[in-house]
Amino acid sequence: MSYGPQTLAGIVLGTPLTFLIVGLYAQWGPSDPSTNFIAALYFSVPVWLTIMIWALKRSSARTAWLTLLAADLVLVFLVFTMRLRWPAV
Amino acid sequence: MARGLTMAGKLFSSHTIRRFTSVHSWIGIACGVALFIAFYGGALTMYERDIDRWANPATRHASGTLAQIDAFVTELAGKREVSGDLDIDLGDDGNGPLRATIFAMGDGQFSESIVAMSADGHASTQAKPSSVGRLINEIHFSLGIPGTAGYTFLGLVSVAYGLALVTGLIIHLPHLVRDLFSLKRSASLKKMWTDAHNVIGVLSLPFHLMFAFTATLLCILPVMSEATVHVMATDAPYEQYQRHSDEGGHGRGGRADGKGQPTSAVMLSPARLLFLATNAAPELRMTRLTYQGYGTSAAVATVQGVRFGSPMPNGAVTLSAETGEVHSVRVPGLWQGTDALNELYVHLHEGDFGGEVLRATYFILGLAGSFLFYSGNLLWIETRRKRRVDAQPTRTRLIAQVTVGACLGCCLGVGGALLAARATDLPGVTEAWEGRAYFVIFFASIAWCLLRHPVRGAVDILRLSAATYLLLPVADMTLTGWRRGLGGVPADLVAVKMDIIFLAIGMSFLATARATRRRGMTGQPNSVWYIADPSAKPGARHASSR
Repeated sequence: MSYGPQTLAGIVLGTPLTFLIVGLYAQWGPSDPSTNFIAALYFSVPVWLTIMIWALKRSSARTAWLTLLAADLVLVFLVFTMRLRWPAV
Repeated sequence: MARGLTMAGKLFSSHTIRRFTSVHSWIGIACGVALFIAFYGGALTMYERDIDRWANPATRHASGTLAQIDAFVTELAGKREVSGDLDIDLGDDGNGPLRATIFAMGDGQFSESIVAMSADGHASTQAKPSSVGRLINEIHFSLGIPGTAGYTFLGLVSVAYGLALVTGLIIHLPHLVRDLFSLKRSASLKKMWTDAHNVIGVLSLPFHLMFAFTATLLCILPVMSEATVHVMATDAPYEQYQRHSDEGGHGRGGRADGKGQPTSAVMLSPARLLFLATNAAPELRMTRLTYQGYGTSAAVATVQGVRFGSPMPNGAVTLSAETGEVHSVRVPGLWQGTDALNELYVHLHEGDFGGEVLRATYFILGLAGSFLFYSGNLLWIETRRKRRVDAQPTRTRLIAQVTVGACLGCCLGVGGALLAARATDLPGVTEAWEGRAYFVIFFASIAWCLLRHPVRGAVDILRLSAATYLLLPVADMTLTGWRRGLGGVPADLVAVKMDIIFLAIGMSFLATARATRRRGMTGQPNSVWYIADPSAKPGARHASSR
């Protein structure tokens, strides 16, 4: 019943994923930018917990690592694209 | 509810539930001691101001009214040393009694003194006041670890605590209602402790979820801000947020630009400043007036007030102490989204929006939280007992000793600090040394428990804690000359309230010491919580205890 690798995946890849997700909310949220930013920080705790629960629920550690890595890469790509598209915003 | 339970059953297999149970237990054992200390300190922090008043008798019999504030501030300004700041408490209803704290910086030394105004216009000063309330607050939010390390550490502990709560919720969701009514007297002490742990956990679950969330934000919001900024497409939202937070002013009015080198200046009278502030924010009941740079052209007066019944009750008006020009007005109810979110988690955590009833509720829930972590750790240790062998692993005993020493050592340390705070009333004692008292007692308790059998160590510390807390009201009444309600001096109800609270805590420690001793003598011999009955014949039981 070892779940160490899943926990590690959740912490190592889930933490940056959390900040990538809430960073997107801070950028594109429905309110004014400063409110979006603090609201995004509010969301970071439940988002991180959800990712951790998801990772812990995986029976295979490989699935947890690969899925989280893929999600991280997609969001990093998205953020870089946005930085190139709107460098001066 | 039934639908929720079915959903939980569908979402999580028994294998996952077992995994979550393991995560819940491991986080509990890893963070339980830190959370116990944070919760015990937090429960007492609900009465931080009352504790400081209890510890500083000079402030108790203040009775000056708002009509005397001009004379009071003039007298304070005369006492003030180099470039001092003033903080004047106007009383809970804003009409006195008047008390002030003077912060001064002279010869590179920071000093603080408390001044109280009596009805005859005489101001009495306590030169080196006790700040034991602040010490307990520091223990609460940083465990007493200096610098940013303490609260960053507790922020990370809070995140883990959140994970333990969510996993605990998933584990208990299918039998949440059954857990609530499962507590009863049972032949199995372990079952009774487990049921008590579950009942308190279920009842205070919303409170704990809120605390895990708000504590994380309070402790590591700056770290989270930095992390988010690094992975955002642009910095614009963060910069706007920073600008908004730095400006501080919103609602009505704007902030004045900074001036050049401050020069000596005549201040407006405090009564006039209070009048201007009340005009700017009539919704607020003004309870505090603070000056920064009193006597200079850059002097800023901040009048703080409360709007009762508002979920975020605190507001403030900032004005020039020289001209009375209003710099900013912060009024509950008129805040924009950013300000509301900036304030919400702080007030939810501090519970300062619901008066005495909510404060007492937070206090009780805080103590219940401490019990939850303590009982959780004891259960974890008991569950890992090897049932068929007499000798238990050293690590189990070590965890038991550290748990007992640190948790109960914190309780004893706080009691010792409170007692030390009152020692300044004794002749010859010139300095408050409550901080040193706390840390010496805390580490000595851990050392003592490491030398003793866990149960004997626990009973020793609990008895000593009971004696310390029961001594507090006695010391208070003795050192203030038994004047309470006698000799024409009116009783100070805040101090009486604190005496009653300390008395109740002392009694509960006494009861816990008895229960722990009884548990030690009636438990199974190979349990780490077993001690041989001193009245039993030698060799009849395992003499594993010292």
